[in-house]
Amino acid sequence: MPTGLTKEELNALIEVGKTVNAHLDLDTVLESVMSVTTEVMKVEASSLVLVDDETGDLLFHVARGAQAEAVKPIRMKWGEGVVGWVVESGKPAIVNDVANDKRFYKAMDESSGFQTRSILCVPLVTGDRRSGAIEVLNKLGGEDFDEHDLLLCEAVASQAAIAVENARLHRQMLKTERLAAIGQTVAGTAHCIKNLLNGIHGGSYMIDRALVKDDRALLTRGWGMVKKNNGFLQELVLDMLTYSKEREPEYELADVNAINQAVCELMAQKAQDKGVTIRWEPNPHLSQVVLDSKGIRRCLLNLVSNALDACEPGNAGHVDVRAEVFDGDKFDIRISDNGTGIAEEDKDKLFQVFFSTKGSKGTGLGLAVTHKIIAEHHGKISVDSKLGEGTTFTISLPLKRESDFS
Amino acid sequence: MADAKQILIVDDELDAVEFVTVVLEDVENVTTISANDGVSGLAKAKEAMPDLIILDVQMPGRGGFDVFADLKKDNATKGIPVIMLTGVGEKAGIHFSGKDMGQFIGAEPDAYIEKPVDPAELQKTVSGLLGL
Repeated sequence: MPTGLTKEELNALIEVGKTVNAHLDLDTVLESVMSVTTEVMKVEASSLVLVDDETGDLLFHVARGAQAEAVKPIRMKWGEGVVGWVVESGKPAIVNDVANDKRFYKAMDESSGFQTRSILCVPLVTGDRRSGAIEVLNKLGGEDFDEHDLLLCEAVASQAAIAVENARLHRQMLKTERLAAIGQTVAGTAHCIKNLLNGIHGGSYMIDRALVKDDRALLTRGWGMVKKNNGFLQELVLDMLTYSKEREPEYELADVNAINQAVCELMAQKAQDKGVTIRWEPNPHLSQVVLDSKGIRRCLLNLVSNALDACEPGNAGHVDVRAEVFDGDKFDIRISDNGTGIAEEDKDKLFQVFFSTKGSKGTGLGLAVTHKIIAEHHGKISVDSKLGEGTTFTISLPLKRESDFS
Repeated sequence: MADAKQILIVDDELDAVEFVTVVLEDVENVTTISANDGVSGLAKAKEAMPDLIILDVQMPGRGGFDVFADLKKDNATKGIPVIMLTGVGEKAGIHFSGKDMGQFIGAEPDAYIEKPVDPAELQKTVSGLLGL
């Protein structure tokens, strides 16, 4: 007959409940929950497994204790190992002698070097949905897991299941909102696409006329128009796809200075055509940073292009790109211009989809896509602007080094 | 060309201006001038007094309908025929009815042409309005 929970265990459950209610960031919640669980249940190791939305595989979202890092990359199938059995059946399992249990997955110990003696595993269930499991291994002091431990673990699991379900619903809501935004303003995009099609159509017409008149200059202008508008159309479609899809950043080791330099070089011709100077400064502390370089490059391209658009020709315009490190754990990239500035009433709408201050030149997606990519990095973007004086956009990102991933 | 007709093209898209200019090169006895935003378009219309204005609807700052309204309020320019270039229109299920336009502005453009521009349609419309 299980005895009631101790004061320490009740306090731990209260703390878990508070954490679940206080945070929307799933990783933060689950790390905290498993930290409390490992301590209060007095076990050598623990893990929290989640069902992957896309593949259905069981992924070790959190692992604590010895050999935790070796466990994290492992993927299990439903029904595989004790944890797979628990997720598949929806029932808890107490296994105090793993060597004599058919469900036990030996390969995990073989690859991690951990020696499992006993397992307690409970499913994460919300309604009909099984979203994963919590597994604790080897009670300290060599004792067996019992009904009391099961009671405690199930209480934690019910809270964790709520957190997982909340995060899933939040993601779904965001995705629905984004798709609705795109659906609702298709007419806005249609106008932008029509201008681009007009450019391609116009260029083609000019080529036709040039071939009839044998006019090489007209031919060159026509072909230039087709190529340019075709390129813009591709960018617009890419922005629409990026905005509508859920994505995780593709983290890799990158040089922020190289990204800044590449973006400024790409924009050099546009800057020259407008008589605007682009200046950038390298920062020696940002040459080895882990980030999604394609995503960040995209953001910088959008922001530098917007900065150039804001500068009027013949006004000694300049665009500056600088990066700075703060507190050792975050860094900023600032894109400043001395262009037209942004009206106060437009600042709040800047990151809304299909809002543009550039009339038909703007797709209204560039800043929305930029905002989304930065948010995926758990970063922030802010704007400081004065009409007639200029604008500074600041991207703030967590500073991740390679050592954070080893 | 002593009796050449002058057409003012107002569009913030430089490619659109170039396209329309090339299309109108094949209409006899017309010359073109252009402006790239609503404010300078209105100023140029009052200064040059063209025979026809081709006016883009969606422009940053003063849009095409605002410029059209100002042209119609001014006795000097109200008689100049106007073709509106529009990026959304009947093909998208949106229709600018005479009643709507008359209600808001008190006059209706002489023609609407949807982008992407059909060169033959534009040439025919221009020739018709200019009596060519």
